[in-house]
Amino acid sequence: MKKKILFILCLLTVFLSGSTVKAATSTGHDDFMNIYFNGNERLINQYSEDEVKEISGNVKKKIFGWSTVYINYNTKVKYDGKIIFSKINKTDIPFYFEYKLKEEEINTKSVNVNGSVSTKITGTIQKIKTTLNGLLGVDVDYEDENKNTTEILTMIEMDIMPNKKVTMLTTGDAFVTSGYSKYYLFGITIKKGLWETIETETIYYELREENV
Amino acid sequence: MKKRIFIFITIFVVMFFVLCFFFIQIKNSTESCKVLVIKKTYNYVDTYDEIGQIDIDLYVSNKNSFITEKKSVGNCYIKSNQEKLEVKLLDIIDRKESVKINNELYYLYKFSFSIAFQTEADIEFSFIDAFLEMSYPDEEIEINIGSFYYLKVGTLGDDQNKLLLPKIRPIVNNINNNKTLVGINIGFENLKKDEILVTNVRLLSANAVFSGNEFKTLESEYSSSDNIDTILGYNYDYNYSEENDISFKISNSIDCIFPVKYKNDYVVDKAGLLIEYKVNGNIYYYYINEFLFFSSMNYNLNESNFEVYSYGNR
Repeated sequence: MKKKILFILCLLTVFLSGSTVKAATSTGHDDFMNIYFNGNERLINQYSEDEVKEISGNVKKKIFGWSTVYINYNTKVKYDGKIIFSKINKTDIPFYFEYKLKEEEINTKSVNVNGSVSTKITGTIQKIKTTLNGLLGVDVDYEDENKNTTEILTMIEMDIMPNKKVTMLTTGDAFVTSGYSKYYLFGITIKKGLWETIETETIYYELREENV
Repeated sequence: MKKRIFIFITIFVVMFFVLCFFFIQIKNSTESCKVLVIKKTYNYVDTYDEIGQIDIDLYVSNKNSFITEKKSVGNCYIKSNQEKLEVKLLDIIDRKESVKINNELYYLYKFSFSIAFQTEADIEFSFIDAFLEMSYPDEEIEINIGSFYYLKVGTLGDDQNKLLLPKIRPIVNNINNNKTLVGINIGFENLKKDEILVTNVRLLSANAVFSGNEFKTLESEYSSSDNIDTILGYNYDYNYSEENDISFKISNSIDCIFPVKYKNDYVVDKAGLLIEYKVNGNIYYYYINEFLFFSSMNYNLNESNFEVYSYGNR
């Protein structure tokens, strides 16, 4: 009997535990310093507990499976991305600087989840997964999910003059999708939580040179 | 008797598989192979001692095709109708990505080439219509890859330390449903007491140029996705008409927008820049090697920006 109780407790622990991703930025996404909406939309970390409770109450009950209420659905935003590099020359002589920008450093999808939902739920909600689109009915498929991402995209080489600082940063356009999801088993909520994905549409690269 | 039946069945099964194998081989060898190329602009700037590298993405309809057999590839060239530049195949990499276009499946391969030649003087190759030529034992293929620009110079950057570029910011708008570089916002700062006379600013590309007549100084800040029409104050025509030199003076600092005009529809996502300037009558050059302005996850195909070639398999 004790073994059975222990087994059920273990099972419940597994079901109720979820992955929570914490980011160091105010947006809750590591690669996005600022997100700018066109209207009054907000990111999930800007909702109060009461607001989250209210959203949670709007999720439709089901017997089995996931039920979701969306807060944003592919809402177009502008963003400030991360600084790709920043280099200062404090010596008296110019120095040659070479920077290889690799695909692996460009994260085109960021996920933020709270509660007991896992990051996997956001995998089903995906608008932009193609590099090709458009008029001819193009459908892109990736044979290998863990694609080799070490390919060099571009290389910047320059002489940085004495007392100069060179910075490369990104801005861009993206789509935000967020919601509150609950997972039901025989009508009982097993998992629940807020989640949000940001998918990059375009990345703009900007170079700044400053005196130090 | 049972033993005989068993031997008979075994021979039958083996024969069946051998025949299937041969049929598949024959089918593969007679199948035609299609190569799809999305035409784009390839722009490169290197110094004299550097070995350049060009990566070309080709979509191939048959994974067993001779096209992707590295050992079968002989001489390779990037060429225009008049000029030819020898390149050496470094690798053919399966990008593990497939694309279905008009119900036909294509597999993405990256063809990497090195551009290895020595020079002790500036040299420029500018092909508005560029072709990749690759020779195989039984076939020579020629694919229109878009535009190609390659420049070799002595030094990169401003070796005189007279000019500072506080800002290089692309302006990218949607044109024909594709993200397009329509302008570049460049800030200039004079580091010396003497006045700088900029005598030209060039986008180093075969396909795109700065519109000399339409560059303008900016008083306010614009973001990369702002509309070029709003920045310039009129409806901007991005089609190439003529090339004009750009000239202006820098006493302290200045912020400019250089609108981009196109000779064809091929995307320019990266290109080098040249700033030609004079101080006290002496002329100086500030080269920036290919700078990645933007990358877009969405790309619309239309009949002008891709081509499909058919080849017989061996």
